[in-house]
Amino acid sequence: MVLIPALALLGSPLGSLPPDIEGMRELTELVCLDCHRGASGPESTGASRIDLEGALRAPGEHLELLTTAFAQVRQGFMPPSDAPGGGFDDAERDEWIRGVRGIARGVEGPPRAATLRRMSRRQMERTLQRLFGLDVPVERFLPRDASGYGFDTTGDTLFVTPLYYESWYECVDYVVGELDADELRARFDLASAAGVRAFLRLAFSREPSEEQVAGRMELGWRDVVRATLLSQEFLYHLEADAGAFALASRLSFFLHGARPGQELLELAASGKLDDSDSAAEVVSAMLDDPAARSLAEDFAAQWLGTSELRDVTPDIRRYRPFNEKLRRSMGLEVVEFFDDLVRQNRSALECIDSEFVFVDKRLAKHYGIEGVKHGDVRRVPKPNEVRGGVLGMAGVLTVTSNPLRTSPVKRGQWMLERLFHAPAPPPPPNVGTLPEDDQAEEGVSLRARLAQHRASPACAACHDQMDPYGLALEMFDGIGQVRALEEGAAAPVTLPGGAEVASVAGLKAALLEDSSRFLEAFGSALFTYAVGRPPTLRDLFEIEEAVRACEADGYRVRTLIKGVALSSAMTDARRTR
Amino acid sequence: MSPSKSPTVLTGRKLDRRALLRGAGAALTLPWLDAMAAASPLRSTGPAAPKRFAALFCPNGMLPSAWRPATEGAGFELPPTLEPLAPIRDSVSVLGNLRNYASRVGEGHYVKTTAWLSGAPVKRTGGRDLRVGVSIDQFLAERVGQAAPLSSLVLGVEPVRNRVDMGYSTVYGANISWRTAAIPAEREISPRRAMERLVRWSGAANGRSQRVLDLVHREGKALSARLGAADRAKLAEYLHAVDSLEKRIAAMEARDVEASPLGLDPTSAEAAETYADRVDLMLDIMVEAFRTDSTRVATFMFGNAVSGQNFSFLEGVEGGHHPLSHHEKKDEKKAQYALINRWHVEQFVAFMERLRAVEEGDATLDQRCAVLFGSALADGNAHNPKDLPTLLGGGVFEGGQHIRQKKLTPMCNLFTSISAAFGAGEEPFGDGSGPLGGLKPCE
Repeated sequence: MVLIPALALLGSPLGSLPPDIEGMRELTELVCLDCHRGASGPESTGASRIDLEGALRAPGEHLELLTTAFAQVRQGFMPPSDAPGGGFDDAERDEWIRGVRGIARGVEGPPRAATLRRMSRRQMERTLQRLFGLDVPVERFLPRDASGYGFDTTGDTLFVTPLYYESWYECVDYVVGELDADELRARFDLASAAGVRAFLRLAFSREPSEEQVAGRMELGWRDVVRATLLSQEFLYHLEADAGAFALASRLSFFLHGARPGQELLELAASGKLDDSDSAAEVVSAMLDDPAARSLAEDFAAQWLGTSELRDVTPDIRRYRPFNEKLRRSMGLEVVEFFDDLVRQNRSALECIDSEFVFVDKRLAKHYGIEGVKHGDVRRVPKPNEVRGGVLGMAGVLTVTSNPLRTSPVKRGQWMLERLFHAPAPPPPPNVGTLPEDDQAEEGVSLRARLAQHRASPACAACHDQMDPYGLALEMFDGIGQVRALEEGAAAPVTLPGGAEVASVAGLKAALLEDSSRFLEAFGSALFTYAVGRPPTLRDLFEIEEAVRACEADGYRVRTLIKGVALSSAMTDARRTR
Repeated sequence: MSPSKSPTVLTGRKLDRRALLRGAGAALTLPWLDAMAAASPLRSTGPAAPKRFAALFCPNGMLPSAWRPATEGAGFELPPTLEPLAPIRDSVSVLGNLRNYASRVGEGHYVKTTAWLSGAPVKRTGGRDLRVGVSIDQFLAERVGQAAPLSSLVLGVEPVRNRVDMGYSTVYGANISWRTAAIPAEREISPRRAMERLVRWSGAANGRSQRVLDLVHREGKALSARLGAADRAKLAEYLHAVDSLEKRIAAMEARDVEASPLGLDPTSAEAAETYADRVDLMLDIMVEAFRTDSTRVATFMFGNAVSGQNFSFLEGVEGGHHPLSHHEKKDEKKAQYALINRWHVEQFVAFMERLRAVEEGDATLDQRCAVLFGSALADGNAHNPKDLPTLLGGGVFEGGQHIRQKKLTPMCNLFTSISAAFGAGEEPFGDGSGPLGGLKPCE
């Protein structure tokens, strides 16, 4: 592998470049710069302000832009077919991607480490359960966590404000009140230095200092617990100088949603995480552990957006079947589906289409499945081709709807974000909106209104990408029931890239046709959740490797998860801050 | 005539609920004013009573044609949205032509909401390197709020959403109060927790010990010194939080108060089921916090940016706030949008009246307050941060005027005037150029 010195790429003219990069530069100039020249001033539009010319001149200063551009080109959204020369053909697309790869190798330094993370409320709950065997209603004390990049595992948006700390102080008081001295003694002997040390090691996921142990030896057991839980070393994932425990901690938060337990720390101490083969075995064992359900509860619910089910308010006069029990069942379907996917190590492509659904009697009725009597959510064969996979899940279809109608735009945007990892940019200011209700207004249907919208060039660039995906799901109503459509609404749609689909089954088939696009997006979401920041170009190339491995292994989902778990952003001990 | 199905302030249902709020005891049978008088305020020391600042934020703008009075100066005619101001109009000014220049770009709501109280430019990010600016309330909290147990009280009702929208972390849309340019002052959105907190800090020390906090604070500082710059910067948040808790406990010990003088019963919060009930409770909590001098600075968000709160509980309204704010110039939608705006003004008036009902020395509590009410964009259909709908109530400034500035006057000029009136400095705030013309502080 030839490394291109960063300096060779900086400054203009570019001089002699390796053929890959030279080809990418040419393609960009011929096809992309007409629209993305980096204009400024009042006349400039959103597209023309994108400075691809600057990115060619000084790629090291435009890595974020190149990352976005990479996702758009990789996912086939850019360049559009009306770009000069009709956009890219497949060979050109590959050439362009190879060029960006070369640039990334040349100029991208080691990624800035993710911002130091505080434990999320869910992680806190599970960790207290692990430490003390207590179910603490943390939600009663702590405010809901904000999220960054779509996940509550992003340090940038996890604050410790005075209000937060005070609330945590009250929660710790509650924990201490709930602890039984004898039961606690069976776990930790807080009267001895060795016992205090063992407690701190588990609570901090690092070796405590002599001073920390000594400082606590002067306190009664209640205050030892208080001082430990109130410490920043408990609240935050402090991995700097944690040695072998650093990776153990990262893996545990990723795969178990909690601090590592005794067993994992021992494995780490014995060097089991030091080489990739034995680390992969540890990851496999962690995925076998029931604690891996946290991936379904935390990761999948946020990735697919169903964690927002708690906030949506479908209009119950319009959508009579909707009630609190159905809301809960919708959320559980996603959790049980994903938990099963990981537990059984099934094909990651079952997210696109599966032969079964996870329902209880309420969801079964919702989906028109007969004969389901059980009150818990279980796997049953899918009733027809529109169900199966995440696109047929009522929870997904509900969080992407408005209270009184479906939203093809929201659903399309959801697909770009979640299934392609290529979100659309914000609309220009002062655009119109669609009516609140989907009953035809003044003789114009929702679909026709959307088409009018796309006729405006300022809107078309993004809505041409988003709307077809959303329109392909129009056969589901605002709470994910199959509905009878107004005339014309069921017409076939043309997806970006030219494929024409006439049904949900057709949409799923189109997605499966080029399944690595989806798998890369899935891997990127896992990466963001695990590492606490979105992937950079170099990380994306590692994710591609994980996808290749997953594909070679019959699409087994654990192979993809493993690839992310042991990517260099996770394992790199040089993560200097 | 009020379009609201919920009764206006101090009518039957509310009084009952308010009495319940007060929990057990004699207060149950007392009318509101008597109950108030029975509970002795902490610091009602006449002329020396402190000034309080509150900001009430409305999402999604206000329909300009129903908001803007036709004439300027005193005695202006109240347009439909502002009609509820009638009983308190002498203590409220309508401020026109204020704008937030930095919010003109970005997108429709988030940048405007989050910079409403700072006028600062907002960085577009899904999480990393959040950047706004210190808001006027936190600026005051830092300078004049420290004398009370809580330097500020930051409240809301809608939870933060779990996503990135338009490239902006939803942290932006859920916060108007920023302690630093990068760290919001966390909101409390649970009425129960907000009440428990007030009870906690207005009562006795409850045996809370500083010893444990001393230890973790010491350890925190020692560890922090060994870490890299980025981790250290993040941990500064933690050290600040520990420090602020220690100070609060110390202050509470020094206050030596026997029992809670608060007229709030946290267990009653569970009864607040509807949106309107929760708003009502939060405003109660603010009044109580001011009355007991538990805080001198408070903010409240009626909703987050782009709130789609369903307002069908109002007569004549069918649908959500944000969708109706996009009225598309259709009369039928404009009318509903204006009714929602008017409901918000009613809540503001109710809040001012509750403050007025509290006697403090030889004056009433509202006379010691500056209450800002408004939205961070003008017309919800156009997302424009010019001519922001803004009311200023209370006796810190002279009221009763419709004051229109010359075009494009910075909103921050108002904050400059507020800072000066609160003794927090006379330098221009944010992108302000000086105090707001025509606005006269009392005294």
